[in-house]
Amino acid sequence: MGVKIISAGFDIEGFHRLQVYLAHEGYQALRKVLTSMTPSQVTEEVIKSNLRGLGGAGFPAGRKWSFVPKDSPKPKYLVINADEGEPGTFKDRLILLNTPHMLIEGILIAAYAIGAAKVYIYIRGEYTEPAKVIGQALEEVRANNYLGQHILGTDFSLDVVIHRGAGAYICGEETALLESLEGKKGWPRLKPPFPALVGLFDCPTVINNVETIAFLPAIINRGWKWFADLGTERNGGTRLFCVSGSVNRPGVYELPMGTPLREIIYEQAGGIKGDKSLKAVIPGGSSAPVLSRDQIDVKMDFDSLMAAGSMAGSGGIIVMDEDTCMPHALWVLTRFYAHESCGQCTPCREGTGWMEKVLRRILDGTGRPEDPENLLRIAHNIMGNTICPLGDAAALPVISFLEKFANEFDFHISQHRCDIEGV
Amino acid sequence: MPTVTIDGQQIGVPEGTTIIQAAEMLDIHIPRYCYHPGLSIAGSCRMCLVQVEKTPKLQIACYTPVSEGMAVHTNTEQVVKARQAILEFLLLNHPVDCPVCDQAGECWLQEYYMEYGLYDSALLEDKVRKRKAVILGPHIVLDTERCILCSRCLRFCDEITKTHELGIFERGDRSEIWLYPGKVLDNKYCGNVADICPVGSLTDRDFRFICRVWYLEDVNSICPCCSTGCNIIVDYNLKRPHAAKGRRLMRLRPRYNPEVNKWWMCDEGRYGFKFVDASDRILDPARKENDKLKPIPWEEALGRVARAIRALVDEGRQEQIGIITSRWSTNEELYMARRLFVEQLGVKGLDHRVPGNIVGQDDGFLIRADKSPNSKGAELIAVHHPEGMDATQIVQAASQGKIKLLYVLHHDLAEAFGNKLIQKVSQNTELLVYQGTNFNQTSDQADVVLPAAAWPEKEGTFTNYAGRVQKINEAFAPPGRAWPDGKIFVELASRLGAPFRYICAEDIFREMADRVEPFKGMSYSSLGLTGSLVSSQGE
Amino acid sequence: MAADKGLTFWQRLYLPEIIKGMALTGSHFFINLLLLSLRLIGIRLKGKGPVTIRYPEERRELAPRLRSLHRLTRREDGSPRCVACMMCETVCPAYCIYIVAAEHADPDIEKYPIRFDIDLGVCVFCGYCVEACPVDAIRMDSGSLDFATYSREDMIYKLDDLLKIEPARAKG
Repeated sequence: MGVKIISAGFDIEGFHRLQVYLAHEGYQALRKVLTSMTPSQVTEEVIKSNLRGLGGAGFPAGRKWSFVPKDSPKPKYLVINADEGEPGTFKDRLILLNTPHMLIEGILIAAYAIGAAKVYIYIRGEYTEPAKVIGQALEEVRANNYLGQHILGTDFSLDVVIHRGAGAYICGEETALLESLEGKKGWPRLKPPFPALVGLFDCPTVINNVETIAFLPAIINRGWKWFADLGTERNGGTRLFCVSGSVNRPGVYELPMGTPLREIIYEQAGGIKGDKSLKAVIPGGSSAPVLSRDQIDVKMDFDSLMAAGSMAGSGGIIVMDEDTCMPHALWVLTRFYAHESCGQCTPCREGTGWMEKVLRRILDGTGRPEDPENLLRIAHNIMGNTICPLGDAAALPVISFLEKFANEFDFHISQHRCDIEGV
Repeated sequence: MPTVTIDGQQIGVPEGTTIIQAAEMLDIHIPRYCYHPGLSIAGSCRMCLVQVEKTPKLQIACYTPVSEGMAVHTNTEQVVKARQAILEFLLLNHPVDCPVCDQAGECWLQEYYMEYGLYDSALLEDKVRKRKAVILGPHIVLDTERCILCSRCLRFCDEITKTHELGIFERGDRSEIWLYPGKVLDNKYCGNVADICPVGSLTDRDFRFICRVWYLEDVNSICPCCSTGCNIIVDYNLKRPHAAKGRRLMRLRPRYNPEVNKWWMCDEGRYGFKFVDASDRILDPARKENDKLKPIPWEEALGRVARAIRALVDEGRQEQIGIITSRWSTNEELYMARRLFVEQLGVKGLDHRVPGNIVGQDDGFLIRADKSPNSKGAELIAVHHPEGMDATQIVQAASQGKIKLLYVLHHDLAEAFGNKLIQKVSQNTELLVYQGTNFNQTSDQADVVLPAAAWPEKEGTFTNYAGRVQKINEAFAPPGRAWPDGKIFVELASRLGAPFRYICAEDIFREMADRVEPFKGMSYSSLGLTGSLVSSQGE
Repeated sequence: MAADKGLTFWQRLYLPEIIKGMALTGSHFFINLLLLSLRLIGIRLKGKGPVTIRYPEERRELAPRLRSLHRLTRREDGSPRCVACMMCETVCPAYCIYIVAAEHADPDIEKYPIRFDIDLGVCVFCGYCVEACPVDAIRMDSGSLDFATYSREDMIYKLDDLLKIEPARAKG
């Protein structure tokens, strides 16, 4: 059933152990990179592979590395964003739990490519078990000279530090993550300058998602062309799709970029639970605009989803069937953003809370006819006026839900109740 | 030097200038809350959003540097709509309790609301409730509901005082300014946070509820509490005398002077004005009768002092006259004292160097150990005779009966030399004259007391420690029958047969600028708002 | 005399006119006496009878919008509703309101007057204070119009005096 790169390791017993990983081509790519490639060759390879940043923004990974100034007198840092907080997304957790060495090998390759002096893995606070597993894996590689001084007998040395977050969604935003890592309140920074120039401790910094980095060993082992050919024109390789909600087999599915959404829902995830009909899908984590049932032939890659008016985001696919109350679903999402807004800039701080209250009122049966219009107005006033993308992430679901499922909101407002039976 | 076009006007600005700064140079005001020129950029209020051509999103003017050929629009429909939206968000959970809020009248929310308000509230839900009327320290009260979280106060405590008392806690619309655990907002400059708070969240406990700001009138002045000479604004209330039990001087605020105090002033100076409206102000000329002070007409008081001086001078006994001038007097008053007593009457026992004005140490920012506003002026005008005695010697001589007439201006000698010595002075002199603003132990011993004006009650100049001559202005008239020192000198001089021909303080300054080398070429108009330096700075 | 030229003979006779006048006055007197007596026993004829109000035993009905003596409204616990915002003091064209504010123990009230004087000897009864009040703390609906005193000091109504005054309707 297609190529599996990362998830191949999920099925192998004890794959999180160094010995097992070594038996499956483990750390071959690292050896190759350290012995036969220059840092710029590695970067070039990754650029050509069309590997996209899989944390949500989809920025080409290799190009991000190339922004780091080569001649900076300051140390450079690599930060791994394992603050997987996007609702509907749970792929990084599986990587940390099952294939930690794939991640560590990727980290070593990336650190070599950008010349990082130190690597920080920022793991969300709730991930206690993944933090433990990756910690053990680091101990193993350190004991076996894959990490530390003179790795594999070369001049390359590196240290990796695990930092655990304290439970704030905003710390998944890369500059808020850096602030948090520096010991400050997790507030996104004003940009520019971007972290590639002024990042952690004011030094050039690359921040990559766990999944992005975990693909690196395979790209080095099999070559950029093999990886690029797996996906679409500008979206290389496969990615881990997290399917949740009303499907028969929810879970993480590794599929090539550009796989149609319909195939993921109906073939991979086994269709809608209880043979109900589909109502809506959020295709890329909670921040992505919702798709209606007639839009599910879209290809699941960054460019196609953008063209369809949504976004590929973190690959979290949330499936909603005919019995889902859309105002309620939107309220759940909006409550999340109101709770997680960092409070730094005005539109997001005040707007998210307001939208939550209006939606709560609609659900409570005291909505007014002008509420949907007011919600749209608030969402548009947040959009584009905030420091970081959380404002947009909170506004986009509101706008898309209200546009696509206006009748449900109108029913709640005019009938003072929900039109879904038994909800 | 990139050239930028803002609302059709072109200007060349230095590299790194932000849009908000460039607009200011063109006299275009871009609404803002979190931006303060003296603090780092927070970029969080989003009020200063402007449209930059060829940029899809609105940009914040406080953070975006101008670049060559940039075209900015600050008043398009899109920008105005964004401002309305931001203001709506800012007011969403604001209690709108303007009636009880001290900031009303000088609140930036009110200010911009007149232009960008939406007037009809679209909020039907309950506002977020937070903590109110929280005392943060000796001078500041916090209302977290009114707060718009612009973070100016915490940036002030982080960047200017580096004392780090304040932080923002919680997230989203529950965010609150609060003290870090175990901290109290009691640094030496904390009064400034009430000034820079654009809304009524941080208010001054000293000013709280005593007067509405629209009752206030103001005048530019100089802080008299140390030799730094911070530029200030004196806010006073005469229209509603029932407010604050008749207190006229309501508050002091720092006034921007890039050469002296920037935007700030210390709390010592800010709250150091209480003596002006204190109940122990000397209101009437008086003479001692049976150990008690009895109010007398000016004519009688001046006549008595003048006759005593005249008698000693006529008999050639100038060495028996001692004059203690003051570092709290203006340059003009000091110059008059020199003119009258040294140059006209030949008195040698005249000096201002009473010990006790040095308290603590310079703090390297605004607070200086020399607590008198015009030490430098007194030195430059040479109010002490080069061959004469210094203040300590004069007082010693007076206590030994070698000086028969001691004329003390403003200094509390009892505090400087001890009450016992001053009692001796009182016993062994024929006439002890005290001229000052408030009663003290020295005035208690005096034979004649002359009521003098305090610093907001007169016009003149102070010379700060660095030799910067800065102007003070009269806010209100002296209380009771008190007069400014200058007027007392003029009246005294005419009774001593050496009349001054001054009509106003400016006349004195003009003559002084002519005759005293360091002040050469200066005039009130050349001092401007920020003052100017004396020509030779050293001794 | 020129003025007498228009008089008729009967009028020039003088006495008949006197009698006519006496008759008219007398008829009013007796009709009113009768109507007032009927009123005493509860009979009231509409549009008939004297319209004079016999002040002070009788009081005229006041127009609802009439601006009468000020009063300060109270909270449920009897404390003043006034928050000492000084709006009335500010707007008063006669400068006859004197307020001194203080910190209230309840931070939700925050500010309240410890002094609220209206000098009625100076007041011009313009009603601006009522209009300016943002919390409906001052009203001019007491219906009281007669508050003359023997001294100017007594014309100054203090906070407690103003709080005690009831609205006209409550008085019945």
